[in-house]
Parts: sequence; structure tokens; C-alpha cells
Amino acid sequence: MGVKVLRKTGQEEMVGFGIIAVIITLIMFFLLVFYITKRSEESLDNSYEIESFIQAMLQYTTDCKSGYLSKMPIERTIEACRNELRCENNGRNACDVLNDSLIGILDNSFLIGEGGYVRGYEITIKQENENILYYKKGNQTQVYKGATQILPNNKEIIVRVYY
Amino acid sequence: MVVNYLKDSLGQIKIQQMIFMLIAVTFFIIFTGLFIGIIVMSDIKKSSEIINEKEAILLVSKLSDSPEFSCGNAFGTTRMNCIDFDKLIILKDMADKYKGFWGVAGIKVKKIFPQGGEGIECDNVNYPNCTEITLFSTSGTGLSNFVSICGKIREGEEIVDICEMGKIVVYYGG
Repeated sequence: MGVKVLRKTGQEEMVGFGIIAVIITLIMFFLLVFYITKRSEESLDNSYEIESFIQAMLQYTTDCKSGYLSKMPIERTIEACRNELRCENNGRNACDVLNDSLIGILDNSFLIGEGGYVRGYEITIKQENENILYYKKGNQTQVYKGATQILPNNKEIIVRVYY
Repeated sequence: MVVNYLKDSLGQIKIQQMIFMLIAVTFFIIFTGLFIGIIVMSDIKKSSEIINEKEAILLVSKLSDSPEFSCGNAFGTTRMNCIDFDKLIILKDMADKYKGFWGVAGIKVKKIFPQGGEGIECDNVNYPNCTEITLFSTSGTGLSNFVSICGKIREGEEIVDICEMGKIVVYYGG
């Protein structure tokens, strides 16, 4: 009778230990998952390749003149699009020209499929949380490289390329 | 007799319980350690990949920002990641003099938009209606980065600054 009581106490202690071990493991697991997710997002959003891409893209000359003698680079075309201007040389809407130029640049810079690793990409141009332009192509995956470029007047360009 | 038997059993149970506990704690610590170790190692690997990418691109950027390639102030303001294509076509003619100057096996600058597609090597006859300029060799390992390729183009009566999207590929070894 006495042995039974002692065995029962021992079993309860083992079960208690097991429960504590499981709880600690789960807490550690969730902490690690949170840590890993945070680290991977930090590292992948600072790609030097994508930063260079944005720098080069902003200098691209579009087929749009507006208030300037020569055709505008993408950076000025964004401003013209924001102000809903039209191009003086061809009468086109600055936003249409911006859209066509960016699609052309992205499609030719990141070839989706065709033996490459790129699965998709997206670009967001916004000013004070208001989207000026958003374009997405292909699939969004968990593996990506991205960069953000801040322009004058709180404009922001965010590019992400998914692999 | 019965009391002694009970005491022996109690002691054995306690020892068994302790052994189980020790084994369980040891396994728990080992598995947790292994799990953390794997995570830390994968993190180190990822960091090294990022550093490698950064170094490779910085190396290419350094070359594209050198005076022989960069736009400088020729197109209004000082620009980063900008290659003066007009400079490059002249440099192509003097490529032999620059062999070994940058410590690379070869350099290729190619347009990707709006021109691009099948590569048309530039020379003094077809310039600027061409898409790429190659200096030295294109063998070995190639590292590339995005650049804007700028030049002064005649449009009717006026000379205009035109920048296109392009890539610089630097070849090492080979």
C-alpha cells in the first residue's frame, strides 16, 4: 500500500517534469522562430544589388518633357506623375510614361523563369503612405532581396525581388 | 522484514526516478543545444553570404565609379552607379594601354533597356546604335551590378543627355 502511494508520487513528479520541459521547449521554439524571422527580414531588405538597381533606375531618361529643356529622368517623372502633369513632347500622361518605363526596366532587368532564379518582383512608389505607383509580376516567395530608397518630399521607392 | 523490504523498494524507486530525471534532463539539454547550434550556424552562413554579396558588388561599384568610367558631372549633377558610354568607346580604342590597370581579366558594359536583347558590340562605326562594350577578355568568373549608361545623343538640332538601364560585368581569373 505504502509502495503504491510512493510510486504514484514519483509518476506525478515525472509527469510534472515532462510538462515543464514541453512548456520550456515551446517557449524557446517560439522565441527562436521570432528571432530568425526578424533577422532574415533585416538582412534581406538591405540588398546592395537592389540598392544599385534603384539608383540606376532613377537616372533612366524617360520619353517625357515637362517644364525642362531635356527629357526627364525617372526621379522627375515620379514628381510629374504625382502632380498629374502631361508630357510636353508627346501629350502623354506622365504616369503612363512612368508606368511603361518602369515595367520595361523591371522586365528586362529581372527575367522571371528562363533558367534564372527570379520568381517575381514588386515595386512600390509612395509619398506619405499614398501609393503613386505599384507594380507586381510573378510569384511572391519567402526568399527575397529588397531595398528602400528615400527621395525628397518623403517619397519612397521599395523594390523586392523574389527568388 | 516487511519494513526493510519497503525501505529497499523506496530507495530503488528514488534512484530510478533520479536516473530517469538525469537522463531526461541530459537529453533535453543536448537537443536544445543542437537546435540552437544549427540555428546559429545557419545565421552565420547567411551573414557570410550577405558580406560576400556586398563585397562583390562594392568591388564592381568601385570600378564603375572610377574616373575612366563614371559620368562625373557631365550630365548635370554628380551621379553614382553611372557610366559614361562616350568615355568608354574612346577607352575601348586604348584598351591595350589599360590592360592590368584595374587588376581584372575583363570588363563588359551592356545596355538592358530600352535597347538590349541580342548584344551588338560597339565600334567606331555603329556607335551609339549598339548595346555593349567589351574591354579585354570575358573569360573567368563574372560579377555584375546595375548601372545607368549615359551618353550625349543628337536629336534633331540639339544634343540631349540620355541615360539607359544597363549592367557592368567584371571578370576575374580566367
